[in-house]
Amino acid sequence: MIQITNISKSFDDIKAVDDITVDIGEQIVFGLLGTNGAGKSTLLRMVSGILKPDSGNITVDDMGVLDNEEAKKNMFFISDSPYFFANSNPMDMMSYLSIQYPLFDKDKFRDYLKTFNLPEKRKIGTYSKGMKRQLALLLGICSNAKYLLCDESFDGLDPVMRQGIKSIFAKEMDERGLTPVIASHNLRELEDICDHVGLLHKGGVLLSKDLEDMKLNIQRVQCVYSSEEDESKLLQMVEPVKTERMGSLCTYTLRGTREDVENAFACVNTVFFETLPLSLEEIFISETEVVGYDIKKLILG
Amino acid sequence: MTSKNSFLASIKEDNKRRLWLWLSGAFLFVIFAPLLFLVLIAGIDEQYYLINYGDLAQKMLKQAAIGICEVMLGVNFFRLFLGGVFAILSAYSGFYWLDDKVRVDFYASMPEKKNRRFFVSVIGTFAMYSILSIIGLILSHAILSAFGYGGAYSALQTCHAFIMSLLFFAGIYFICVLAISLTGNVFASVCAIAVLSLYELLIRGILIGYSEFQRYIFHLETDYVPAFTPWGSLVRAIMKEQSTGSIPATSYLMIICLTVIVAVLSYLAYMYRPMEAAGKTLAFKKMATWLKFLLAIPAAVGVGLTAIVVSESESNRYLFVVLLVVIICAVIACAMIEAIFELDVKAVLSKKLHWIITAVAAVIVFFVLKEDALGLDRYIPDKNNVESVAIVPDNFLDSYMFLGESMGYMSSQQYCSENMFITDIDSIYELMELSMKSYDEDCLKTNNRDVINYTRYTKYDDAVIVIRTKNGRVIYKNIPVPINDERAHEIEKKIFSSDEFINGYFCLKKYDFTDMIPEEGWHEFSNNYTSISLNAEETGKLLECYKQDLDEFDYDKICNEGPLGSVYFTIADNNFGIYNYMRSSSFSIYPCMKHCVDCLENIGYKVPQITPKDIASISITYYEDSDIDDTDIEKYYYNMIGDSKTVEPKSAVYVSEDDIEKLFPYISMSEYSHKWGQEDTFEPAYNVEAEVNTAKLFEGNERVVATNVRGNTLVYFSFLKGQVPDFVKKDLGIE
Repeated sequence: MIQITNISKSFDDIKAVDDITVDIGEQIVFGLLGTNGAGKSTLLRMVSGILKPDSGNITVDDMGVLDNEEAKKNMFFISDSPYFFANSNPMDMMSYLSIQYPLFDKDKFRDYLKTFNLPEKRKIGTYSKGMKRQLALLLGICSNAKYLLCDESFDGLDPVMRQGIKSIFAKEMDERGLTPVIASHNLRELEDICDHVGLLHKGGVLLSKDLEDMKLNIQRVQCVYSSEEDESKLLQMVEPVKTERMGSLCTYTLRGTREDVENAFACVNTVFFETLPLSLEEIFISETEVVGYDIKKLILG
Repeated sequence: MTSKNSFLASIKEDNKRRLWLWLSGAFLFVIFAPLLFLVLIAGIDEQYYLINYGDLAQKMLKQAAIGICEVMLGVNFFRLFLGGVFAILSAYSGFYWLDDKVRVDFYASMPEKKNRRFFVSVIGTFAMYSILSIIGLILSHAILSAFGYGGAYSALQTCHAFIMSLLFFAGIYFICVLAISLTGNVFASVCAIAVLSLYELLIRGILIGYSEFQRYIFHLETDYVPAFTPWGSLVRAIMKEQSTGSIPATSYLMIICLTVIVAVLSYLAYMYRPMEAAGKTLAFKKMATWLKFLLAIPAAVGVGLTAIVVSESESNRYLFVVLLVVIICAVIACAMIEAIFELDVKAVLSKKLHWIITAVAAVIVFFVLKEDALGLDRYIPDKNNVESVAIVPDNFLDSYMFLGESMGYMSSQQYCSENMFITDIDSIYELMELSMKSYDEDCLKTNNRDVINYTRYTKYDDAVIVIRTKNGRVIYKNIPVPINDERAHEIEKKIFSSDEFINGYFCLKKYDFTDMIPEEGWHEFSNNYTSISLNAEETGKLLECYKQDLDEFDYDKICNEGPLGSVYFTIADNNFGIYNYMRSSSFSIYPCMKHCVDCLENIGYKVPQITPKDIASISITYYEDSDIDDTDIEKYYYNMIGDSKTVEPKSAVYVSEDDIEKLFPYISMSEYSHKWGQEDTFEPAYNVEAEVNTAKLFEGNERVVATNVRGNTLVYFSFLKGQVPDFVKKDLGIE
């Protein structure tokens, strides 16, 4: 488990990370969401032991990370611009990383290279941006580090590759307890991949929740009332986060479990009633509105 | 815990990524240096030596090969240059990742301790340098042996050279690592390397600039070389080796200590460097302000002192201009440094408070130095705290031989500070005090900080006084001693005739050169009209006689004489069957040196007595037709150094026997040069040249060679002061 407690970091006069406390559990895909400059990269760089926090404490499996070889063996950091040695090919990178990470799985790496059609003898300099990102992710996965810290690593990956990486994540999580931590400024990038999301804004954490919990606690329903009295009666029982109306068809985003919502609608007469799936974006809109922020301005632009 | 194998694997992996460095090193040390060595060795012209040296040919060939060996394999600037270049490349390739955020993210996130990463790079680099350097040296030695010139001497020299160049390499390497660790981008790193390497030189330059316009401060030539940088201490050691023939253990210790200090500093800077410094100018922001002051203030002061030294002007108007220059330089330096710190040209206008602080500090430091507020120029230690002194007159009696224990050249000041221990401190202090008083008065007359005109050369002769205090300090003072001061002359007589001075000044008194005079060396006695070649035995005898004459040295007698000529000789050391050095030097023989004069006569050179009958013609040249005063004589001196446009010379030639007979009593043979502590006794505006039939004078002695002009020898004479006959003046058109 990665425990981040009251971490702050400033660069000259700019406070990049301001008193963040967040725990990252094991065997989950943790999404770190935030606008540019929110402090995602700084946080990940501190977690991976690159930067020293001004204050606060970071532990990985109860070990401090700064200049701690043992703790770092459990982590692999992939920066937003992955670095490869000049004129190197994937085998050269493997050779170096297998010294740094004694558990590096060379066979698996070769297999993955074939699966993703990445030529092992070709110079990495000739790879496309997406191929480089794939290679960095594969190197990280094959290092057998428990925590894979990815800074904007999924930007630019095509859907097929995303799916491929996603399934590798699932497999590795299942087999050896991999915990990917993925930072992104794009909510949609994380939607299909994360189990838990932490939202950073201006160096602080706005919220940190399991996606399932969030999905369970917010519902969207469509209905057509039998009469105006029914509508008034319902609105006395629930307080919609969002209301849309098209003719007599009403769409509500409501806080509460599915059962709570269905119970409320059971008390009124409706011509038509159904619950709809909510996108992560819609869930976030409602969650951030609760804490007083407009998510559209923060993440969705 | 990290296993040893893993550490070696990391070094191997690190070196694998620096293949280009291996190749560059291999090119420099394994290909380029041995190839150049091969070309030079193969280029030795055996035929030339066989034809010109006969039996000595083999010996001389070996000597030539060793000469090349010293240049290519020994402690020399070629090897040091190669090592220095390679050190810079190595440091950059090992630590350049610190300057780039992407690389920092990669390396710093790896499960490898920071210190381990440091040692992997350092040990890998030293292994690389050592391997390549040793292979190159072995190859060069194989070449030397293949040509038949190899031996114990060159092998020893090569081993020594390897150790010294390794130390030099280490010094430069760690300076570069320190510079890279203190900065965050390539441009800043290059600037930092320059600052770390040259800052001491800048400060020394300013102090030397300061002493240039003080009157009595003296610096040894080693004072100009930085002592607190590894490369500076190595250059000092090499200079020491050149003067004494070997590098003392203390110099090695100093180089090693400095290298270790820089290595530790570079390690600490690397360890404490924040990783977010990548891309910025300074890794430690807190250094910025102090660094700015430490660079801008000396730069501004340096420019101001240079302006003062260059101009010589002492006027208030010029001083005001210089002051303005100092202030402008301080502001410009401050603004430029800020722009470099921020990597933004617009930053030149920021932090104006720093401009004011720097400018004020620079002006204060400038005035403190210029006005000698610390009183260093006039500082003389209390007599009671002085253990011994030495006095080093400039070019005393035309003796130029100052050799260290291992026969390396030294300056006279260095030699005397090591060998002369005069206990008559009162006399030297009296001489210093009266000299300084006289000189100060002359300066006051001319209203200048220094007497730099003709008076300086005619009224004073320089002497360096070395003062050793009881607490181990050594202070050097440059004292202009007045020539015409009777008391000064009395003190000089007393000091210069003392055994303490003679034994401490004359190198010939210290060493026995009898077995060190090679047959093939250059030995002769000559004056301005004749010369006689000497063999090794004759030269040895003359050196012995000179020693005996020094035992009976009487300065008072010598003051009234001109030299008969000089003995030029060579000494060499051939411990290894080859010469590891050859030194040439000379000393002058005066008529009062009876042992030398007798020895010369036995060799076959009797000092000729020239009569009017031996002279074929006398030509006189005069350089000014007005009354002679200081200004005219200055013009005459300028004339001597080639600025003949300022004065039109007038001349007259006398060829008849009567004229020559009439003129002869007024002229006397010129001395070779100005004698220390003596006023010139001739009329400087007149040149008197006589064509003398020296062949007749040395008839029967075929060894004496005379310079030939129309069958005669040109001999230089002078008119004694105030004794130019009227008829000559008339002939020259002087009223």
